[in-house]
Amino acid sequence: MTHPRARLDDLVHQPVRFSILAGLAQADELEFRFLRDTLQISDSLLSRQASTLEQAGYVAIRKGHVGKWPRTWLQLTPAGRTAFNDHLDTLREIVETPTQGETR
Amino acid sequence: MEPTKRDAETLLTGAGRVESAVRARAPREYPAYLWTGVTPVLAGMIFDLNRGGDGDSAVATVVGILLMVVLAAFVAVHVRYWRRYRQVRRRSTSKRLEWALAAWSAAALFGLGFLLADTTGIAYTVGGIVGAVPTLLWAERLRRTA
Repeated sequence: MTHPRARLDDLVHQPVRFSILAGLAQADELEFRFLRDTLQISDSLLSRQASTLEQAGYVAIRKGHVGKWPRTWLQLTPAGRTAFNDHLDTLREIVETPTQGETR
Repeated sequence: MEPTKRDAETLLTGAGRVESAVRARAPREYPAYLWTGVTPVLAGMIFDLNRGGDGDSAVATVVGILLMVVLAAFVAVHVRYWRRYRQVRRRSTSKRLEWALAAWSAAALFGLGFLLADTTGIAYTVGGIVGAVPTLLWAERLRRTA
């Protein structure tokens, strides 16, 4: 049987992207600045990683206004939710799989 | 511990922190619906109090103050909800249900109140209670599933 690490999605496995997906999985939409502050990263880093996820079809980015102020919201797509849940299951499997030292 | 397992634990821990932060900031629907349900009941009682006062200025003042307090509480709860909703959009109530609850609430308060006005002194209170029941039941469901 192959090790579960073979099933890890490289796109999702990057820590910032995985955290973005984890946050988005808890809500219908998250506001860009809230996500930036929660992840404690810069505007440019979040913007770059969100664009990567958008290109992969995992995240939808919506621009709008609150009053006259421009705002951006991010949303997990169905494909993104599936990818995140699969990745989460795989990570849990890896953590729960005993290492060789533990099995002896 | 092999690197993959350590990486997995680090990722899961980080994700758990983010999930907790989002859940903590998510708007709570239960207080908003609770107050949306309570408001027509209180409004109905205030209308009946005003009707019973027969134009007494002291009663009118009390009614006015009570109405302001109820409306201020209603607005405060909803402003808090909307401030959070601007950042974290998560809702269990569809727009259609929201409008249906509001329409029923208003129709019962004013419709029943108007129809029963000549038969009882608590017509608007009864209307408010009847109007509030679906909203309060929904609020209770939200509280249980939160």
